[in-house]
Amino acid sequence: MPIEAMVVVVVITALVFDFTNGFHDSANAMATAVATGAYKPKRAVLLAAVMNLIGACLSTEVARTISHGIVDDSLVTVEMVFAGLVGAILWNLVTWLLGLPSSSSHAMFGGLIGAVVVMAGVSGIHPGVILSKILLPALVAPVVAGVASYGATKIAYRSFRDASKGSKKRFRTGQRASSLMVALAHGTSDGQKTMGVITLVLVAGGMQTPGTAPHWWVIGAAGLAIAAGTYSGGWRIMRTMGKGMADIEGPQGFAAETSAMAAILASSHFGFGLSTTHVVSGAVMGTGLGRTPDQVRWNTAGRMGIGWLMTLPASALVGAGAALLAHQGVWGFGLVVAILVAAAGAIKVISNRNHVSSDNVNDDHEVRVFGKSDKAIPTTTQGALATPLAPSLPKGITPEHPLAATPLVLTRLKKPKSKKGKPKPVSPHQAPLPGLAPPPDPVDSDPVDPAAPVDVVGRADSENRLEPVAGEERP
Amino acid sequence: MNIDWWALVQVSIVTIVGAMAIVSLMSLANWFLAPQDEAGSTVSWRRVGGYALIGLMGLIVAFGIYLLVPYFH
Repeated sequence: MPIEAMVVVVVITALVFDFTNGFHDSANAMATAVATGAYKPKRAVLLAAVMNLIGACLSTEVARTISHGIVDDSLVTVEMVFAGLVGAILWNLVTWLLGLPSSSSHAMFGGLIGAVVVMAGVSGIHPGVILSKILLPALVAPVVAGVASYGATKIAYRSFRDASKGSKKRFRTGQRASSLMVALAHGTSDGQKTMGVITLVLVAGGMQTPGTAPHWWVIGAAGLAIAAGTYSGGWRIMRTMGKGMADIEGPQGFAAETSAMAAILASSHFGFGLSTTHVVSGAVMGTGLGRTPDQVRWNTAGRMGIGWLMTLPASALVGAGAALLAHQGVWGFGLVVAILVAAAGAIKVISNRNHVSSDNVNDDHEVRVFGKSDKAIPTTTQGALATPLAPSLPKGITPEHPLAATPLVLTRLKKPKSKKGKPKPVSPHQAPLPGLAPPPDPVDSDPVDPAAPVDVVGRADSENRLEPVAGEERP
Repeated sequence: MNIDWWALVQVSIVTIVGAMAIVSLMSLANWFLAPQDEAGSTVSWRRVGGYALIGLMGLIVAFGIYLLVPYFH
């Protein structure tokens, strides 16, 4: 296969990887801002895209080695880079489908490792560097950011109990600023990754002199690709990051993004590589623990952790397979491309079963792949009250608890603010608080109008809370 | 295999102290300016202190951008 054609295909693949990198990390900067309303969803991703583009174009120093010493760069061929990218893209797509934040850098390293091991042998990789540059930071980053974020959250919520409007506005501004900075930081760091890859491919293909700076069009294309990916939103990941681990309020978003920013700046200054995804996830977790430790969703965190552990092996496996196949000749290479396109299409189709977009990103904390969400809208009010829906029992109430048998009550979780005029989905929710009168049997009473406004009642508990919580409807 | 543990420690300390310090500034500014938000105006030291802290946070943002942008080094 003519080397120029292969180089073109690999450059395009690299830009596709950059696009997936964009939507995967869009949530790092903007998830907390979107979840708390500091930015409207569409505006958030637009701003993040612009900051990423600026950051990418600002980074003048491109990494000399794309792998930072993880593999022996003299052994790396265009085919291996291609296979590594394929592994990384597929891993990014699968984790996107599952709504799991994961590190795109690690995915690329993993894919490359797989390709190099299969084609050049185990001696081509440097396990010590893998340990010190991938595994150790992956363990350290979330913990450090989490501790910082935990401390910051404690400070934010301890120093004043009454939340004045002015303080909320100041936290909102702080959130906006810190989110924009994380987006800028992401652009400077991840933008150069793909530029480095493309430059490496051009050099390996003999189309660029080694040691020269990247071409202007490489910088522009990589910057645009990551910005476009960022703008497309990665809403599934946005939902998990902003709502999946814990419910976040304004000051928490500020604490989390500030901790993430501090970690990113400190690590790049001291030459210690940290993944933005790991840092922000750790920070969000830390802030969730700081305000509502008993309401942190550990199963989501656990799934994320497993996803992170699997990133290297999984992308390495795919990279290895792609390398073997692509090495067979033109047909193998073409087959890999075809499989990549088909897999991407299939993942997109599956994702549409439970589509997450800018309109509904804040409506739920869960990203479902198959199966209906139990927050689905009932078709008629009578139907909703008559059919026993299967709600999740609130915390602390086991099936044996007397309140578990209370009939279902329709509760609105948010004040309706839908632009299209459709009522927000109404969630079936059992009476959560002992001490309040259980609601009457709904089948006997008048049908509940889901469009009627609901009293917003403060929740009577000892949690720190700056905003009221929608309570039950009083008959 | 040599891991630079000292760099790791430095990163951790800077992150934790830095993040907590910035959020403390914000919380302090809010505390200074809380009566002004409620009642409309407040004593001058609160106003001066609050706005000074907000200005300080703006400077920290500028410093962060300076650290971030490669052009400045």
